[in-house]
Amino acid sequence: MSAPLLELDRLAVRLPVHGELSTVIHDASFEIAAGEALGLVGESGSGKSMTARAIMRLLPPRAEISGSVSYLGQSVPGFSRSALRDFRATQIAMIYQDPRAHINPVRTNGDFLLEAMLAQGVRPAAARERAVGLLAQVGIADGGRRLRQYPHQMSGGQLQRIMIAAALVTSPRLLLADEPTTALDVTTQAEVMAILGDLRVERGLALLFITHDLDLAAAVTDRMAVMYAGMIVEIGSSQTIHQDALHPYTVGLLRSRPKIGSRARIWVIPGRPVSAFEAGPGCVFAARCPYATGRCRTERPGLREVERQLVACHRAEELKGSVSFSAEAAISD
Amino acid sequence: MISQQHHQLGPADPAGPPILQVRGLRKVFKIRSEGSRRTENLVAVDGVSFDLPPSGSLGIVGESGSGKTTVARIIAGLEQPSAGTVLVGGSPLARRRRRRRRRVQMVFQDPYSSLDPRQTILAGLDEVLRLHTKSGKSGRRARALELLHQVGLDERHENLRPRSLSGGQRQRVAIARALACGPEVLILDEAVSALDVSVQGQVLNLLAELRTQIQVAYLFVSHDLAVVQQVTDDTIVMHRGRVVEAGPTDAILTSPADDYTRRLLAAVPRPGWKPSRRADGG
Amino acid sequence: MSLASVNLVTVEPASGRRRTRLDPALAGIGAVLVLLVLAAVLAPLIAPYSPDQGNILIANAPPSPAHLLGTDAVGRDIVSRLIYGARLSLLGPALIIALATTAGVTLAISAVWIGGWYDVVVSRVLDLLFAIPGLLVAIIAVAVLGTGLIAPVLALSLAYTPYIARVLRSVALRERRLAYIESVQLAGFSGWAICLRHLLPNVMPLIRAQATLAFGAALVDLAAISYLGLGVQPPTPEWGIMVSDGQASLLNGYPLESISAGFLIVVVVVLVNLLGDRFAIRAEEAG
Repeated sequence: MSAPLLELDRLAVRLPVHGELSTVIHDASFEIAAGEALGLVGESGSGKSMTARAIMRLLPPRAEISGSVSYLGQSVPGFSRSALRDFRATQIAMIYQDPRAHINPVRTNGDFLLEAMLAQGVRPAAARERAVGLLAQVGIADGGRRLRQYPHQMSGGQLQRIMIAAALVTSPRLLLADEPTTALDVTTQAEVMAILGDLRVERGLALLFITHDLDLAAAVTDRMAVMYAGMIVEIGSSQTIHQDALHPYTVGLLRSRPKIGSRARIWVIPGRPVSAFEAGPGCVFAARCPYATGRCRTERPGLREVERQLVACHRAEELKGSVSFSAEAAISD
Repeated sequence: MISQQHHQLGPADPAGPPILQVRGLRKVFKIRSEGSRRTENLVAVDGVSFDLPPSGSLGIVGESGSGKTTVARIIAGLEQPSAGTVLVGGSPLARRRRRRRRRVQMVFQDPYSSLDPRQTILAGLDEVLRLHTKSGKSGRRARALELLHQVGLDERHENLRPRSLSGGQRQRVAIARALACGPEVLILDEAVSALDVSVQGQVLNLLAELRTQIQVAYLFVSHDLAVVQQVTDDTIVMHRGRVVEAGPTDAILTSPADDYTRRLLAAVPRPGWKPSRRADGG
Repeated sequence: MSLASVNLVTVEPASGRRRTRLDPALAGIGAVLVLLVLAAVLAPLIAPYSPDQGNILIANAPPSPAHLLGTDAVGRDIVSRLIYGARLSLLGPALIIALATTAGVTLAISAVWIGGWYDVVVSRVLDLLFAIPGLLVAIIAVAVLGTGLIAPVLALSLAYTPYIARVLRSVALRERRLAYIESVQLAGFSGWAICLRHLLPNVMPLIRAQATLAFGAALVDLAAISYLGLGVQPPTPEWGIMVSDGQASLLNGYPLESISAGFLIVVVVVLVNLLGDRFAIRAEEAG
């Protein structure tokens, strides 16, 4: 396998929470090869968005990080100011859940799309032509007209396409997509995912796809990492995880989503998702896990290889295939 | 035209006449288009009719702009229809307050705005019980605790304010508050959509459980087909203000008749899924 | 997890009550203001001399142990006049704020609740009032009703009503659309009950902030009216009058009367504004 495009090694992030520095990400390690799609899946507070911010070096000023983030072998935290600017401008791009919050409402789509190109000294006519071409790639046919319109004249799905087009302007090699379809209708989500899929093929674009939706991640990514309370609890081939998850949290999460065509009562993971700083000293999932033992509560398991997956569970082998949760309705978070 | 006819849903009237009858519902919003003084008519809901049997459960499925939430709000009495009728227990939804209104209650999507931030859980329930029952203080507290137990909460929560509760707990309280009115129809408008997946499952199971315990009919409004399947017997699919398909939920999900329903189902992610791309949609 | 959500994840104490941290700055400001109000109320007990009776023989006396800030042009003790002056100087703006807040809150909440044409009319009237300078209204009111406390207080109450009502209307409008208001509506409560029990308490932090900030502005306006000779009349002790009365002495080299009264006005306004800013920040955090 060739050298990875992006590699995280024991990345830990500490942030001020209520005035004290608290860990929000524990020792996250993963890599993304050129052209590969990695899913980062988790519920609220899991630290999935924070991981993306750490990669982009967009953490708040008082954040402390340890471990390493390297892009093509170079340390991202070690980048000089100009190298960082260059990294963000040409190598990596990000799209978000709420495009409206990331686009200036009083400027036209054209102003937004052309800005980066004009800053690089591209002539306006050429920049416009390129922008119309990019819009066509993301499924917007009448690009010329759209460039003159304002963000509020666009639907959410159209605006997300424009954000994707803007992300492509600098021909990045890695796209960080943070819940890009969560606010969209399912049919629109399907179209946006199709566009992202095509772009990966056409441009060899690598994708870090952040989502709360395990089914969606399993469908559109090659590998996925499941995060809980700031920790990656399982990582491996998306298909394998979707079929034969090893970590009790992953199994529970998969089975707590109703499946079309089955009316069986869904399983319920007791309690609510916690943040990293609320987790105890042992396994971050111990408080909600029906299989937790004394060891689970005191000794935090690290990721280890079990059946070609990496899983952070002391009991992964013995529990394999037998994890189940109650379908009790009264269980409250 | 399918949306013009009246859909007979559910088993053939085992429980008597429908608790909710909706006929020819239409809602037109006047919107002022940009830069002009003319108002345009936006038809949000057009010719929607359906029945909901007592203790039945009907799903309204659709994407944004389908008119599903407008239908729910009209039935709740939060919007006035431009045309059509809503009969609750055979009589029209009058403007008269209290007795009429309490028969239809609603749980909203956003758990963070659906409870008064200044009111403790018990105070919120007590307020409703004081309006609708004649019980004394201790009787009301007993009833409030019973409601809390029904939604999976208990004494530990009664003196908390919403800010100390998680999203899932807040939706449970919202459900308890709605039930405190003793409604015959409970409208759940995307009531689990904003919750984390693991918590969503808990609330779905709770809703399924509640139906077996108390006499209440659900009108379950959602964009999420898999979720609708968990709690409904029948479903209507709405698209651009109209009903495009109606029938038993299982039949719609397994053998959809309408093109739009098929497209909705095809868009649900699953392993091996190949998302499809239309020309210039969205 | 976004940055914003980090802040939302709060670990609450088991009681679930809001932790009441005592803000030292807030406590300090509050203490000074409470002392001032106490001084005004207890003026007869703590003022060393009568505010009205002077001894012309010691006119414009310099500060001394007997007269800490000296005496004015007719020999009255300046400290005593400042203490008595606090009564009208604080009572005036307090009345204005009480009237303007009552009117503003009533108008804003009713406009939001009733909506439609009523809301349009109320909003336009408030816009109109907002456009007319308060001092101008006060001068007209004095022309009609004569000098004294009543005319300027009524005029400024009218002028400050839109200041309270306009901001409140927009915030209450947002609050009214929240699901919890709609669900109490569905539960069958009357408009009165919903407005008094739910809407009003939830916009109270904003009302408090607006009223506090308006207090400072009203104090300055009233002092200006007194200074112009349109408010309460000399020899009544009042800070605005003292600034004006002291002017002649100021030019003759005895500046303490004008300066000390002016200083008190500035101190009260700054403290009240600081308090208002704190309230505004809290209102924002709560909302």
